[in-house]
Amino acid sequence: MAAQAEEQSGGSFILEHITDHHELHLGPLHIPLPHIELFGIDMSITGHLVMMWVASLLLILTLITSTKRRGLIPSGFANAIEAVAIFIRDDVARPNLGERDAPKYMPFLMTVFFFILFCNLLGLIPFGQTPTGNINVTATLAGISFAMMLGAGIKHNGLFGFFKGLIPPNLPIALLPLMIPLEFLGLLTKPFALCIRLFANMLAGHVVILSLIGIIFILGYFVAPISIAFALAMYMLEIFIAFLQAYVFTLLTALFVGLCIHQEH
Amino acid sequence: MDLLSPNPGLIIWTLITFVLVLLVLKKFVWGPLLSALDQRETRIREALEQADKARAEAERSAEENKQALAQAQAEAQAAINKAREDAEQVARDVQERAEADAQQLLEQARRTIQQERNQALQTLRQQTAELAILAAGQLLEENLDDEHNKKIVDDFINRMPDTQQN
Repeated sequence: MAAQAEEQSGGSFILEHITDHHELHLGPLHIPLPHIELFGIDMSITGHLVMMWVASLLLILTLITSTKRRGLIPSGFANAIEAVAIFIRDDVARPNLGERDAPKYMPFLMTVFFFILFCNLLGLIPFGQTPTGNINVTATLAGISFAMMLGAGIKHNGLFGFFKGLIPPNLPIALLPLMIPLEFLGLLTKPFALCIRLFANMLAGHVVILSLIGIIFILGYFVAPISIAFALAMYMLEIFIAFLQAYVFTLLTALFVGLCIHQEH
Repeated sequence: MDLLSPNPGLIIWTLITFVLVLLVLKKFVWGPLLSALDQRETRIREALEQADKARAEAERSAEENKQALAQAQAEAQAAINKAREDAEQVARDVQERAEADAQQLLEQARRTIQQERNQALQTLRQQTAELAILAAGQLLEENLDDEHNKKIVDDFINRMPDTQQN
């Protein structure tokens, strides 16, 4: 597959790097992954899935080891984790969910943030790939957010109350046939935007970096210094974006869940 | 695989992975971490409140000490004043009594003197009268009635000016 891609046009190697495969690509090494089929669904392990597991393992190990010796006074890396936890609690959860409901959603929001962050950052490590650059992964994460929105909304307002609350109060009956589909569409747009935003952001950075490197092979080695300088700048930007997108996803999830809980606002 | 091709297997795997990560982290990290955060915040708030309370307490006790000191000083001053007044009173009493005693003694002495003097005068008068009678009797050699003579002399004496009495 890789040999094929290299023989093709200059841009195809980019696609090969950013798409998912049934084998794990570690540089020149292509490790085949098992094909699994369950209940007629192709449950094969893919490269991105392995990367997601690596990110999850790293995440769990990092968090557990850094916060294991728990005292009232944090030290070392636990400080950074706590700073993020306090930030998400005070600036993401509480303003959007309210003081009373925030603690219940904190573990979920913290997990969303760190899971996406580690997946994002994994793509910046050599041999690593970005699981969040796969639309299936971001769609699932957005789906989980959507489920949280619906679950929280129905739990707080009741099944009927939640869907009734979607329609603005005191609306003329004549507008109902228009507003019901619109509001329903508005509800679906939120997770869709979450999915596309994360996917596109993660994908775009890699595409730009790979393109800048690819220029070297198209135009010749003399552009290498410029290309590498730009790629380095993009890499720095990507580190920032990895944090930013994890934050944005978490913030919007909290915001949307909050909107579903407090429909009157 | 295509960039946008759906992969149900990956979707399911992602869901499973995320839920597992969520459960593990919730049990081993977020639970202890978030409760520790709350605990620490409560601790800090309580410590600050306690510090405020202790400071107020210290200020109040300092104020109380100052008041107690002032009161003690006032009491000591009052005691000193009272003692001084008492002493002055005692001294005055002693002096007055001594003066009164002296006065009384003087008075008594004066009275005694007066008495002695009166007595002496009386005696003198009698003796003078007797002497006069004797002298007159001898002189006149007239046998006069003693009673009568005595009366004459008494009258004579009584007719003497009062100044003689002193």
